[in-house]
Amino acid sequence: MAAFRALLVVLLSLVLVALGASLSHLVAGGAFSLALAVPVVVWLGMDAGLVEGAVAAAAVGVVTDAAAGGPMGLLTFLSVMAFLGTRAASSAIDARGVLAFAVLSGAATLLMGIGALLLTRYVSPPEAAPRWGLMGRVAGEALLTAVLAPAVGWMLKRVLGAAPREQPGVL
Amino acid sequence: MLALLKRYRELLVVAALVVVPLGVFFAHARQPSDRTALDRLVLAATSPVEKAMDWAVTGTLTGLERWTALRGVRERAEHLSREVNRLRSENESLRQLRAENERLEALLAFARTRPESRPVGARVVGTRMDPKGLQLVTLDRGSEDGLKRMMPVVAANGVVGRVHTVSGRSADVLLLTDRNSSIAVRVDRSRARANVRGQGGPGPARLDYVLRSDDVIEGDVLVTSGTDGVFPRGLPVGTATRVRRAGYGLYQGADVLPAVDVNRIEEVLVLVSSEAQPVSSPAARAP
Repeated sequence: MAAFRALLVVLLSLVLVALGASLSHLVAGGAFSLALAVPVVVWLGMDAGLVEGAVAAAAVGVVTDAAAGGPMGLLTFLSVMAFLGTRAASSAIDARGVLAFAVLSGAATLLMGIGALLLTRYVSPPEAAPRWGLMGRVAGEALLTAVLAPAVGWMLKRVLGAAPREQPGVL
Repeated sequence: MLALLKRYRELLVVAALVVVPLGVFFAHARQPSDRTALDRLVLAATSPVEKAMDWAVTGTLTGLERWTALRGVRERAEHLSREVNRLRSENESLRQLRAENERLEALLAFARTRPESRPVGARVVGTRMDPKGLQLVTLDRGSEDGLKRMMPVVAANGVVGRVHTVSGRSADVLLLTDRNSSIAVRVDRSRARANVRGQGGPGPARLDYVLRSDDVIEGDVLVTSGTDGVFPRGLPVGTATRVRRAGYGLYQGADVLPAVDVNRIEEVLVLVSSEAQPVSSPAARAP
């Protein structure tokens, strides 16, 4: 059952990645970007079990890695980290509402963006390193993702059902 | 040891999910010259998986994007279909305007060759070609425009008929194909004289009163002779076809294919001041 749910999550993230790309293309010709797969990871962090959630988050990361076309592993790593971060945050605070979900999704998107920038800068030669000017775009992406996160959460609930978190705590 | 692994199994799985992708990322991101043996091993191990994932995800994304792109295609097709219909209609309208323009140009050219006739342009607004009655067309000009009975009516190709009745703003024209119409003509080639009489239908007229000794052959162009007191001389009337010469009698006969297709005329010229207009001429006494 857990494997089936994980597969559903992966398929859903694939659809969301495509939807984000299409929305970005249709609405503004690529002027902004969306990270609609991140709310899925946040949802996993809030609702899924540790191993099941981590595996599903890694799978979502692999999907976003493949879709992004960058070096493999970066977004997979960041997805798992986002999953763990969300898990930690939702343990520390009672983040259950729509607003909390949106804020966590935005924060996760922002942190993943910053993390990706830092790691890519670290491994890239200076002339090819991403510039800090991209931070504005990352912030915009986080904001838009936060705005759309409740819709993603609603869809996740419809598709996967509300599953109570199996184990409290971070790990 | 095994118990320890079992105890921390979940933690180890999560740690692996964190460390392995990071390692893969670093192995990928390094310049080929900087890669260690471990990097190459990681790349070799992950490369097939990466290719498979890339193929699956890219294929799915492309499919989904295409599906998304199809959104609104029906509305667009309907819009384009309406646009095509509108343009077709516009095109047809322009085509008709061009044809009308060509006809009017031909009429104008004809009018310029006869400035003394003071031609008045008119549009055909009605047609009555009942085989039981007269072959008439109605014009949108009448006595207010200077039209009178018996005035010759022509098109660019030749004779149409003559004004039959006139009211204030319209006039009926008796076509040359009417059985009451008789037009004095000459064979343009041989100058032989004859009469062209209609047969009551839009088809061929009849060539009457051609002397047996006159030179008429099929294809001869017939022009008005100007001797009937209605039509000025030299207007094309038609072409002789099916010449019939019997073994006896004074005359020979022929069919005449009118120069003007009376079924298709739309604009005509009424020659208000032609060189011959005696109202009391024999032709004028026709109904």
